[in-house]
Amino acid sequence: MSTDNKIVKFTPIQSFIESSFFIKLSQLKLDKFKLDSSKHVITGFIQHPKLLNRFNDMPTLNLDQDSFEPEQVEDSSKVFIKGEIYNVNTIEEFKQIDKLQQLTEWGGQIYESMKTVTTFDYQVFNQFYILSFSDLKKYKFYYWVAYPSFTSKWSIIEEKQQSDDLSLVKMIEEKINQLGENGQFFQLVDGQLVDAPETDQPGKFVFVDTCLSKDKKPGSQLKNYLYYIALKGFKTIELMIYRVDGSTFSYKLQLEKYDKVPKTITGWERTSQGKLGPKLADLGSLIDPNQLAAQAVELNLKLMKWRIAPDIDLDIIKSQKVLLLGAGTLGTYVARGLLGWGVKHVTFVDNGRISYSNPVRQSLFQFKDCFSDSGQGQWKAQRAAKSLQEIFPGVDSKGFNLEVPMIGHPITDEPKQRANFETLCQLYEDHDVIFLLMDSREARWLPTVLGVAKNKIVINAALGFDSYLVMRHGSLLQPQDQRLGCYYCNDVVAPNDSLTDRTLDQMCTVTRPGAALIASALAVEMLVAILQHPDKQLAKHVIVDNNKFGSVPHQIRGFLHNFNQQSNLHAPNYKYCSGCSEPVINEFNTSGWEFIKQCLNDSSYLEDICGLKQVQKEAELATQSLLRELELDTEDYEAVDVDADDEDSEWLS
Amino acid sequence: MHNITNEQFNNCITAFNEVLVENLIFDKEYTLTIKNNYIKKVNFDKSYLFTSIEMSKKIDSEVIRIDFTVSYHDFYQVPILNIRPYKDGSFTALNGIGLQIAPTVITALTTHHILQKTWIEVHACETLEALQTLPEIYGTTVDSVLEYLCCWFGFYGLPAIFPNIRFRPHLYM
Repeated sequence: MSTDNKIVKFTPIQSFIESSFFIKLSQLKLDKFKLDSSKHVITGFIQHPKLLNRFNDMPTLNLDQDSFEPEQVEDSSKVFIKGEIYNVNTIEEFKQIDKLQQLTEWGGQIYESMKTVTTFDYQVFNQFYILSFSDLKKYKFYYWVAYPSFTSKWSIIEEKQQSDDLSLVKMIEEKINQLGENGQFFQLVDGQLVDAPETDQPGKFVFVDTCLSKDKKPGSQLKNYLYYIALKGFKTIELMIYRVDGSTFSYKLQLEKYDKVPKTITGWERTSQGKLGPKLADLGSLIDPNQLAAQAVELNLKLMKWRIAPDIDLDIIKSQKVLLLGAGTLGTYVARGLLGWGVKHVTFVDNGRISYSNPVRQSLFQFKDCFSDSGQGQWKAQRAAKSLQEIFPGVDSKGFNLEVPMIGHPITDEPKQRANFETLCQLYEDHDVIFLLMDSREARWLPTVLGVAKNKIVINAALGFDSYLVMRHGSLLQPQDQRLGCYYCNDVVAPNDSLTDRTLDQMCTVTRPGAALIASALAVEMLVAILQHPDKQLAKHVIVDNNKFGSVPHQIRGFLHNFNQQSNLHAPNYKYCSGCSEPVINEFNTSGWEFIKQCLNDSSYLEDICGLKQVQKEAELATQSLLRELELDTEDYEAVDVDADDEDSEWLS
Repeated sequence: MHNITNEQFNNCITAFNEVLVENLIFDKEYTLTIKNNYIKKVNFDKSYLFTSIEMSKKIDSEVIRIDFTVSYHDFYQVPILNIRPYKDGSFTALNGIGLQIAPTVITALTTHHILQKTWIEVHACETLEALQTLPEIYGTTVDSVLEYLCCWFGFYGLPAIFPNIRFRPHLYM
């Protein structure tokens, strides 16, 4: 088939840089290269020509995690190619480099090698270069690969679609199977394939193609071999393009033009859109530890959805904003549990500093926290928030040093206590779930009132020496007959100061250490159960529930002295409760701080409001009434036994 | 089916690769193209098959890339699939690339047992036992290891994650 004046065209090489190459580059940049932007030798590979398949329609240079290794594992399915990488230090440097000048410089190196080489050594003819900039803050890699190529213009005098020389094909197959340094380009001399140019012999050559392009354009690696043989003085040649799939073809070529000293060197790789420009590998999600941790935590949780709990709604858990009142033993363990469930927003409130006894029981603190901050110990809430981020950077955690106003502890500094109250109110507005994890009974009163008034999910955990209580507070929105109680619903007195005039062991929570872990874990799991229930915090107390994530008990009480735990207990709302009864909530909604202030100063005021005082009075009256009923009639008594008078009057008194 | 060894895997991986690249089909609105495919040898007599596929939507220009490796896991004594999905050139979580994901597959983001870098892995904890329950196919001329690898890929390979990727090779024709 004759083709007048057609010029040989090539299929450009494309690079395929596996992400692991850049991961390795980022490690080397940090640990080894640092500011060194000089060249580093790397190794890429192309698929062995005998293994090309129909998908290899372009020559592909591969780079991966092993490209920086000085030695490659022997692999007969690959042809390894040497190259160099120039990793510059700034994006400005990347931009400012004159790309044509750079390519000419690299091409000059290959040209010098060509002048001295004596064989068709593919390592000389296939060299590649990479200009790159690694943005290690964002894990973005800007890179541009170049395959410096020399131009020699060859017109096609004749093109044959298939070679009919079967013995030659067989010889080529044998040659490429023994692939050494040569094996991509041969001259045919006296019926033999030779690895070096013989200028006194006819110009018959074989190129082992590096792709199986459907339009029969040989891989652009051929360019440098053609330039080289032009340089060697060949003007007319026969060239066989060998392909493993049988689509071998031959050219008869006439040299039209070439420059003895190359003027133009081409070879910058084009983007997939065909533009001459660098490529970008954005590997933030593959290298950035923060992003990796976020993905891994989420994937781990999602394992539950595969089989064990396919209906579980993880998104609702993830989206909760959780306020932990107390950053002590309970608070720190609850925070860890929440982290495990993928909760992303945790806020701590506490007014204490870390003391030497804390770190062994409080999982977010360490020894050094006891004496840092000028020997005073760190603030608990702030340190807990920071520790949580150190464990999982994806968490949004904050700490507030705040004294929660306590009932029975009269106002001493109203502006400060009012400010604390207002901050606490705002924190309630900003959060969905409140955990009451403080170390005294009276500290939980205001948070209980606020929780009911603002209809938040409130979970309360409290410890005895060897017992624990975990409960959720009822809501005003529950039907009256199903409304659950709060921490104070079983009391007939309002909470009061339990700390003044107490010994240390009475003030501090002296507990078996494991009780806090158990209670914290139960509190977190109770929250998850509430969130998975269709009625959320309005769910009524049912011991066995067909809800997708099991039942949502009202309260769980456990006893370590006999390792017994009860979760079938529940207490209905008490209509005179000092924490959650309607009169208290109504008064709070009407008078706000003024109401709270009076309660703090005098808990009997609260007993008046909620009706407990009336209950106490009625109870007193009922007692007196009962006593009166029990009294014996004096006349009857005297009639029965006069002698017993002295003895009985003593007993009755 | 009988278990296979690392050596059997190595001997058969080229043949399996030929079957694989010829039979991967995406049966929905995407066109599947194989962008790269090779088998690489690494130290300790291990090898792995690397393939990069691209799925482009016929109606718009959205391109999803999935790189995956097939290798033999010495601890689990079974082949294992590791993948890295990319959307708009960025590594993306499985559920972020917009393809349907099988509800039963167990995946984890973990360190590739050969490449020592982060990949998503189809967990191999049940593979050995599950493949043992498959019947041996007697009377065929097909290599039993190739048969095993094809069965494995159907159950625990790409189609296990992406139900729209089909792999139904005609081994026995």
